[in-house]
Amino acid sequence: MEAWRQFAYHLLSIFNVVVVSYFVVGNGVYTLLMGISLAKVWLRSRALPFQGLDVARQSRAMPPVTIIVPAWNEQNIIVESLQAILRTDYPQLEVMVVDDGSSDRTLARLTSAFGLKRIRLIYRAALPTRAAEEFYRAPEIPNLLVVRKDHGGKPDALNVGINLCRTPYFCTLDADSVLDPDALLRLMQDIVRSPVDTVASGGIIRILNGCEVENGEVTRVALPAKPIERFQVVEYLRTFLFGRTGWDLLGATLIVSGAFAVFHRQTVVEAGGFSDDTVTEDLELIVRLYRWAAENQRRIRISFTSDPICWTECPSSLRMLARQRRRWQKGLCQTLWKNRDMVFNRKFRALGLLGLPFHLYVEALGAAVELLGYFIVPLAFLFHLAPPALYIPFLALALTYAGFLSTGAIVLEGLTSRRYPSLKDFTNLLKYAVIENLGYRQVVLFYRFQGVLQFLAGSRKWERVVHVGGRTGATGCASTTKVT
Amino acid sequence: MSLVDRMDLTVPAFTGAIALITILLAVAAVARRLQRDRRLRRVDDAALERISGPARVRMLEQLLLQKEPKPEQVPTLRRLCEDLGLTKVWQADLRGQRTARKVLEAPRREEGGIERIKPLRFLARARAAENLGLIRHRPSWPLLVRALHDPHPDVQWVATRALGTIREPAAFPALADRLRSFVLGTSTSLSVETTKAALINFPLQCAADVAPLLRHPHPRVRFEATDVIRQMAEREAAADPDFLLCPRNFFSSLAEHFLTTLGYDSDPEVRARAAPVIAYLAGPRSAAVLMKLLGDETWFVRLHAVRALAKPRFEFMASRVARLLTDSQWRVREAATETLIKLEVSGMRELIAHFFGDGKPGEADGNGHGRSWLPDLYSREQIAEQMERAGLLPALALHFEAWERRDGASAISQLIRAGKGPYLLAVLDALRAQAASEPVSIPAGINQVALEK
Repeated sequence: MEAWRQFAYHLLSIFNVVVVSYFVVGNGVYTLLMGISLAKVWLRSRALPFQGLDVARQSRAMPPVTIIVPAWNEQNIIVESLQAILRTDYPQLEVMVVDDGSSDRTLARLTSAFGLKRIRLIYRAALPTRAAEEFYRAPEIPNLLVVRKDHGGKPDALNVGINLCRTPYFCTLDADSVLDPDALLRLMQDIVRSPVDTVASGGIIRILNGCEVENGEVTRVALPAKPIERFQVVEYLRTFLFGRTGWDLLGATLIVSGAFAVFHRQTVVEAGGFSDDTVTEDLELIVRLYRWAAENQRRIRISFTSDPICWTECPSSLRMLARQRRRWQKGLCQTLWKNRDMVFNRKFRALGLLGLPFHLYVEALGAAVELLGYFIVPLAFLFHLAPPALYIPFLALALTYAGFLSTGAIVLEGLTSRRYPSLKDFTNLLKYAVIENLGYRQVVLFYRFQGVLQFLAGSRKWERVVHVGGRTGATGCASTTKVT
Repeated sequence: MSLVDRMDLTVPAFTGAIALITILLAVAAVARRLQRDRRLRRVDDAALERISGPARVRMLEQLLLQKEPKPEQVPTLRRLCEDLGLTKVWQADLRGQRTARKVLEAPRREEGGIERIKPLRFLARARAAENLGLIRHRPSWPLLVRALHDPHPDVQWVATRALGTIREPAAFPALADRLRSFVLGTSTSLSVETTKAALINFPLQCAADVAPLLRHPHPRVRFEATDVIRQMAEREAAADPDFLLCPRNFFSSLAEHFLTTLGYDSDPEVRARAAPVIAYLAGPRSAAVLMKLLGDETWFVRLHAVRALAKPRFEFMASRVARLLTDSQWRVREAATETLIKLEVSGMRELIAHFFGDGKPGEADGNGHGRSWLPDLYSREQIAEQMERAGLLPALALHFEAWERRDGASAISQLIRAGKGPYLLAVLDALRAQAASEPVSIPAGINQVALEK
């Protein structure tokens, strides 16, 4: 019995080292990211008065951009979304909707709302895709093209869009997202300004739930009512304001959200386009772009800019949240596994030495470590394998630190963009930043753990998140809605 | 002693410290927000006269320049800023001068803290450059030129934009020199595009200052300089459809350089960018150079050359352009179709003859590139696609009845073979509905060709 006890004690000690190192590495890096992001985002907000957006708007130097909107069974929102997209404030804009074989009335609603007429185009496939079968143009809207194709998934729909795209840059935009009118201009201005070729750039994604949308534009920003949505507001602020800003500064931007991102078309084609090898095609493409640049000895920039805003609906039920987080986690694991040779590889500079190892240890494996910690450590105390007096303080430290990081993100938002005008919303955000760690964090951790298990089981299923927001039912009329 | 044992004292202490910092952060954020709301309310109520010194300047700045002024408002705004002494303050800021008064008042102002931190003073310099650019303050151009070499790239960026807005010809050489250093990589703080965006705003007469870059041994420098002139010419052409580069607006030596050197440059990208400029040059020699570029061995040179010809005055070159309808590169074929559509009667005649022709093979062109006359289904499809994009099919459909029966039947069968059947039906339905209410507008070229048929 004593031998078993000794064995368990040693195992526990090893696990403790793993948990503590996870805690130190994770929180240490996040604290570093918070510090540098605070400086960067604050400076960026101070520099906003001299961004010269009006000059950019009239400039002949802004390159043309095609917004590619992949749509699958989006009949409830597609018309309103497209109306908003067509109003995007950008000098040379093309818009392409790729209907990925919807089984609902997505195409029919587009046809009746925009007076689409079927045309025949020559389809030149620079990237292999399923057949693009039907093409539609609206005589009154010369910069709009609608394509219908066999259902092949989001990556395939995006590749069809890339094949048909005739502009040097394209922007991927989810059909359920709402762009700030000048978001694309801000993002492109950063690209044009950079002395290094920018091949991918993303803006900030914010939660639409709770906001008022008028004619496809967010007119009033407010917190959603449901706690599950409010927690996600905190999460998104933390992820985008200091997670991605920090990685961008370190030159290791790994995630550029496909919900709103601009890519250089030719580079993406040369790198092979979007792939369906993983369930997070945006993440996988970014890693592949880094690989392509290293293999071709090209100096490229993949960036994140904190002021162009894209609003998106977040899951408002646990069921949908579970689907979303499982997919994200599974996609991260798939991408890291697929590119495991890049981890700790000097050839990939900051990404190989810092970004990928961190994401592997803290974001991918961390889900399992943290969740197991919640079970194994109490068991150890229960069986007197560890001093019980330490468990509660350690747990308190971990949760307090997590609360500190989330509070930092909210403070950063309050110091810089101040998108939540109501003081009540702001204080609520601070409150949710703290209580997020008492329940919600553990639930999300569980879903992420499920994602890891799905990856280990070899699942490649794409779990679809259905949004049931207040925009449901829009039929193309100008409307004012509160996304609930 | 295990790792766990070692932590039993430090963990609670660390937790307490973190909790305290979190609370302080939250309280400070709420307090700052409250303070800001109060200050904004006070500013709303405050009479401007109660505020003095730099705070007053900042407030006036916000009031006057919150939104970019419309062009017609700029002179008034400039005068106002000069009368209020704002331009002097901005010039001093841009020079990096800090008056004793400003230093003393700094702690009382929101921006005061920033100004005391040396690395953050670039914010004031950049804002000053932006404001001087917004009001097009011409006398400040030397300061802005100096700011092109500011240690901070943001200030360089704003100064570049401001110079592009002010358009003082004397500043052009400095910007051209910056372009050269960015292209050659001797300076990497800004992108080439940023400098080009400023340069193309200048009057065309300034183009002479680009001449040394057009003769530079580095092809990239020649390319960018050529592109600057191209964009300047296109800007002028956008305002005047009959625009031509002539001795009145463009130096003869430059025009000669384009005709004799850049059109034959060893670098294909330079030749490609030179083509549109050559197309704007008045005189018969430009057509000869463009003719040569149409047969260039590099596909994108042919592409740019054929696009450059999309002006009615090149109607006489329609048959030469039509040869590119069967080019090996689809982009060139597409551009050739677009150009022919814009070449009015001759262009449309070539296009329709090619599209509805009998498919007899023709001769190879003088340079041996492609065949001059080889209508195949693939190129026909492309022509049909371009005609559809250009909105020509409704007009064609409308005029079928004016054609000979055999020609009309042949045209329809070609369109159906090119996959335009469903679209033609939709067009005819729409035309039937429209004909009752309003006349349909038909491009001049197609109208005449259809009537000739």
